[in-house]
Amino acid sequence: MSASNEILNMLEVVRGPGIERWALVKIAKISDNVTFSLNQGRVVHINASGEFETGGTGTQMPMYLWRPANALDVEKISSRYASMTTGAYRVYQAQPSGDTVAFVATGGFEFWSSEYDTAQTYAINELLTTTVANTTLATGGVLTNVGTSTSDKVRPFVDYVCGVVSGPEQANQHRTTMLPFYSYFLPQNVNP
Amino acid sequence: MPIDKMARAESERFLSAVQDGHTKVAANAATAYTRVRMREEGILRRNMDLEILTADDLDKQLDDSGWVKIYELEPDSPGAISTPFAAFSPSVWIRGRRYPVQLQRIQTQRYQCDVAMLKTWDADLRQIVSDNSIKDILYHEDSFYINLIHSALIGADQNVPWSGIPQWVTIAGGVDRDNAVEATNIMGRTDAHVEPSTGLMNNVTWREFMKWQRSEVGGDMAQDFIKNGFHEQEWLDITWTTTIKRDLVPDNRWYMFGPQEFMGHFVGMDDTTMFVKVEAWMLEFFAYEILGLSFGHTAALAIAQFEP
Repeated sequence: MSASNEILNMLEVVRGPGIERWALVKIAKISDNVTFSLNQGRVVHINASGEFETGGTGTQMPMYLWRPANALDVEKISSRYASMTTGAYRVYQAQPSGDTVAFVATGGFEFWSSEYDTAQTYAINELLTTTVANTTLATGGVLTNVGTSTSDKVRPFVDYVCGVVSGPEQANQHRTTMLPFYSYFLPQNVNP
Repeated sequence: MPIDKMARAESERFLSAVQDGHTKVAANAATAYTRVRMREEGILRRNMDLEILTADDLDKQLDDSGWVKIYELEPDSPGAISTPFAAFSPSVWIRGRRYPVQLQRIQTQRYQCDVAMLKTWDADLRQIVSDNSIKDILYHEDSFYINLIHSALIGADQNVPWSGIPQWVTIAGGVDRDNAVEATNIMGRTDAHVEPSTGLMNNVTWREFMKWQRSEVGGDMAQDFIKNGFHEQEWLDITWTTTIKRDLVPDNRWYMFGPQEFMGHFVGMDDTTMFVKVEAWMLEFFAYEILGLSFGHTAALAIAQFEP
């Protein structure tokens, strides 16, 4: 698994409730269907089992991952070592529980995220979508302005919308390029 | 239920202190960041010693600010051999093992109320809720402790990886004398040769001993059991803890433990803390703590499941 890094893969909560007791967040485990280590900032949704999976489609509420999958308060590090999970000398950890936390799109936030498709160019007020790709690090839960239309742009009332660009791409104080966006949700046009 | 006037007076005193802005008086009842003493010991806290860490005890990681403490495991040895003259024994490189204990925050729900609404209660609602919230934390600790024991022992009658034999054993025939002794032998059969020193069962299972006849328990104790109940804490050369949490510790199941140094570490940072905030008329409080528990070895764990 590729290990995310607190500096390279990040989500900044620049406006809105932030890390407050009343912020609209969801606490859940990451589904075993996700085979790569989810970075902070990846878009996720809750599946039918109440676990996080990448991206979103249809009416799945988008959320933005706060604690990455490999954080020390999420993942048992003994799980990374075969010597601790197989063989005679196994290690059994009670903590962490495996639960992580994500901000819910309708909670009213402005974020800066490193987890976006850097191959595209973004204009303020453009709509953003994401991809459900539980086995693909490069695209699973990554924000993009590429939709399903012939113009390639994300269309309201057609595509799954999980954000609105709020500012130009820019590097933060850690020299990580970030995309500012408002959290937003407009379901994909699908038959329920 | 009779009106508890003392509790009502205490509630009103707290409320008036809060509303008058006398936060120092309110501190006598519950202040911001009040350190809360456990009102009853949980199973985990009775069975394992909690090691309080400081920030300096934590082991830094390269790419994460989370909390982990690395502990070391005693290396095993290959044993000695007999050799002829002019011969040396094979060489073995000295190696060791380490294992992590990660810490995580545990919290109660956040309780909120308009303090004016507490005035209509005769009972000290705030105290009841806060006491029960501490019990919730203890229950949560106990649940992950019991689940961890189950994980370490794999499953009923399954071989534990280190010992190669089952350490969670099903014993047919109920809790009679022979089966009780058989249960205490589970741990001693591993290569670690650890003997059980403490044990855990629920209050219903504990009463099974009262069924023992004179021929089983020996002497007049059988009469004493029926007349006075069974209150022994030292039994079968084991110090027993009983619990009412039958949903965690099922009937007819014994959990047995050797010395903690053969198991792992139970660590924490600070005592359980109660946060209280009063803003105008809104009261909010919750309790939190940071704990970690890992088993680096399984030799000091055993479960006996008695079947009819």
